[in-house]
Amino acid sequence: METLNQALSSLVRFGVSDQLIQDLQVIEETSDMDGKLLYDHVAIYEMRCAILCRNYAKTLWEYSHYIAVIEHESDYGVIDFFWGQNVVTHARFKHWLEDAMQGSECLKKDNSVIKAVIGNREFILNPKRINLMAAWTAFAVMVEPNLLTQLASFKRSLNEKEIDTFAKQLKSKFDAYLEPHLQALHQQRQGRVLLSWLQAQAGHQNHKTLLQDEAVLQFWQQNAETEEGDFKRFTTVADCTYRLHKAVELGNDQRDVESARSYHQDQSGEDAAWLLDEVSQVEADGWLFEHLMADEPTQAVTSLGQSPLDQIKFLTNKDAEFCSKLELAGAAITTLPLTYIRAQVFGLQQARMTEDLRATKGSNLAKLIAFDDFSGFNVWHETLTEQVGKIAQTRLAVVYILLQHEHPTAFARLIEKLTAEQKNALQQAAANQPNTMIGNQLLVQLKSIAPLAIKPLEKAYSKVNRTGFKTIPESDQVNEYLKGDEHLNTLERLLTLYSEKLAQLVESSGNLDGIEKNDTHTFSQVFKRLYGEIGVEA
Amino acid sequence: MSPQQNNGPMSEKDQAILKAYGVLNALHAVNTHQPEGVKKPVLINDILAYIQGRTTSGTERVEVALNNDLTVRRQYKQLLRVNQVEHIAKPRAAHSDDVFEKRIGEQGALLKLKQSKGNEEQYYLIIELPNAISVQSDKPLVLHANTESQTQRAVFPPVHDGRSQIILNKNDVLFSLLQDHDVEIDIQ
Repeated sequence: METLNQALSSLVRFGVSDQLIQDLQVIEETSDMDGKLLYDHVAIYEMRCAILCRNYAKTLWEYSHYIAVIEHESDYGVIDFFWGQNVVTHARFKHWLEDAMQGSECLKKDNSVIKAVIGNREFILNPKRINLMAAWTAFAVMVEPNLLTQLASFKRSLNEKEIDTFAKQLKSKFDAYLEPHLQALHQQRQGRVLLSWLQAQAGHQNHKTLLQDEAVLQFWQQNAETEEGDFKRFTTVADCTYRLHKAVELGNDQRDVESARSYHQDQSGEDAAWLLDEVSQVEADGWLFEHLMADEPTQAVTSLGQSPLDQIKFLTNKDAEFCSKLELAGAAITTLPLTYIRAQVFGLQQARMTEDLRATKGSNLAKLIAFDDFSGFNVWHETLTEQVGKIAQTRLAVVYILLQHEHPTAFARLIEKLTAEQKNALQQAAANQPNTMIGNQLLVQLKSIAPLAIKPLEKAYSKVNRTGFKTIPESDQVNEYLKGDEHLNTLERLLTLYSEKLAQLVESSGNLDGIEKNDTHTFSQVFKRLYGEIGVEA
Repeated sequence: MSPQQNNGPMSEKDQAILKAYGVLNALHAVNTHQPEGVKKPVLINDILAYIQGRTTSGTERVEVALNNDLTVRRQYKQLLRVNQVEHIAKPRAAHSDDVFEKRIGEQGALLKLKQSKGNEEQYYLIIELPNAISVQSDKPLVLHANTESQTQRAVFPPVHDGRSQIILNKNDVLFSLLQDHDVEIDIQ
C-alpha cells in the first residue's frame, strides 16, 4: 500500500490523510510575533476532536455568531482582529467587548454577561471561547478560501437568518472538504452503495441472507469500473462486505434489545427498512452506520504486537500479517468463505497488476491478466493449514515453558491430552500420595505415565527458537506467556474455523479447482476491462 | 467534549466518545505522526503577517504561494485592502526606459525615487504622506508592489514628519518591479 500512495497509506492506517494531519499540525504550531503559540491546547484539542469526529455542526453555528459579531463590530474585521496583534486571549476579547459595547446597538451587558442581540435572538459571547474561534477561523479559511468575501455581509448588518445560513453553508463546505481526508465517511459511502445494490438485487429479502459470496463477486463485476465508492480493487469490496457483515451482526444484537422494548417494531413489517435511501438513512439507520464507523475491538494480533507481549516473538512478522487479515475479516469469513480466499488470491494478483502499472507502466500486465504466474486457491489453502500448524506448535512451546515453572495451566493442558488409561494411572498415583500431588511430584508422575506427551512440547520449544523461546524465562514473565497463549488460542480457533469452512466447501463442490477455474475467467475479464489498456490508472 | 491538557491523560469519557466515533487512531496520528512529502499549508495569518511586514516561519511559503497559488493570491489581495494606508493604481502609461520619479496615491501620498548622489547604483525610495493620512507614530510602513506575475514588499521605518525612506539598489527586484508599467502599489 505504501509503495502505491503514501497519502492514501495514512488514510488507511490511521483513518486521516497526511494532508489533514499536516494542516492541523501547522495550525497548532502557529506562533505570534513573540514566538508564543497562538492557540492553547484546549482549543486545539477540541477542534481536532470535532473535525475528526465530524461533529462540528453546533460549533460552526456558535462560531458563525462570534465571527459575525466581530466582523460587524470591529474596525478591520475578523482576520485583523484575530491576527493583527498578538494572541487572542479571553482577557483581550473581554476588554474589546467592553469597549465595543459603548457604541454598539447589538451588544448588551446583562448580569456581567455580554450578549449579542441579533433580531429576536440573544447570543451569549463567552470570552473563554475566543481562542478556539480563532483556531477555527484558520481552518475555516483553508476549507473555504472565499470566507473573507462572505464575511463582508456581516459588516453591513447582523441578521439571525443570515448567520444560520452561513453556518449551514460552512458545514456543507467542511463535509465536502473532509471527505477525502477522513476514512470513515468514505467507508460509510461504500457501505451505502453496496447496500443499495444488494437491495436492488434481492428485493426485500432478509438482509443477512443477501450477503453471499456470489453476490459479492457480482457486485464487484458490476461496480469495479464505476466512480461511486471506488470499488476497483476486489479487496476493497471484500473489506466493505466484512464491515457490513459486522455492522449487521452488531445491529442485530442491538435490534434484539430494541425489539424487547418495542414489539411493534418487529410487527411493523419494516424489517428491511434499514436498507434505506440516502435521505432517511441517517435517522433510521444511525445504528448501522455507527457500526460501520466503529473501531475494531482489540485484536489478538495487535495485542501480541504491543508491550509487554511484543518482547516475546509469538508470531513471525509474516505470520502476524497472515493472521491479522483473517482476524480483521472476523466472523464474516464463515458467511463469505470464498470472498475471503478470492480477496487473498485474486486480490494479490490485482495488487501485482497495479504495482506493475506503477513501476513498469504495465509491461508485465498481459502476463498477469492471463494468470501465467499465479498461485491459486490450493496453494493458499496449504499456507492456511501450515499456519494452523505453526500456531499449534508455538502454543506447545508455551506449554513447555509453563511446565518448567510447574504452572497449573501446563499440567491442565497436558492432562487434557492424556488417554483414559493414562488418566486412570495418574489418578491412581495421586491416590497413593499422602498429600495433594502438585508441582514436581505431578511432573515426575506425568513423565513416567506419559513420556510421549511431554516430548512434543520439548520438540516444539526447540523448533520455535525465536526471541522468548531460546531460554526458559524467569518466573515473573510467566504471566506474559499465559496472556500470549490466550491470544494464540483465539487465532488458532479462527484459523481452524476457516479451514473447516473451506473443507466443507470442497466437500460440497468437489474441489477448489473447479471454483478457481471459473473465478480465473471472471477475474481475468474484469482485469482486462480495468487494466487492458496499458497506462490505466491503478 | 471536555478539553485535554497538554500531553495529559485523556479522560475516560473523552476516550469513550472518540472510540465511539472510531477516531482514536486518527487523533493519535494527528498528535504524533510526521507526514513526509506533504505540502505545508499557507495559513491566513501567515498572509496577514506578510502584509504587515513581519517575517514568520510561514513567510517563505507565502512568497512561493503568491506566485503559484491563486487562492493565496486572492486572499492576499483581499487582506491588502484591510488596514490600507494608501493605494497607488497602475500608472497606465506607455512603457519607457526612464526611471520614474514620482507616483501619487489615491489619497495624495507620494512615492518618490531619488538617485543617491554618492552612489549611482543606489536610489532612495521615499514615501510622503499628506496630513490627511494619519498613521500610528511607531508603525512601520510596508510597501507592496504587485504586477500580474510578481509580488515584492519592502518595510519602511515609521513615518517621521510625514516622511519615510529606504535605500534600494538598482539591481533589486523591487526596483525593477517599480518601473513596470503594470505595477500596482499598496502601502500598509
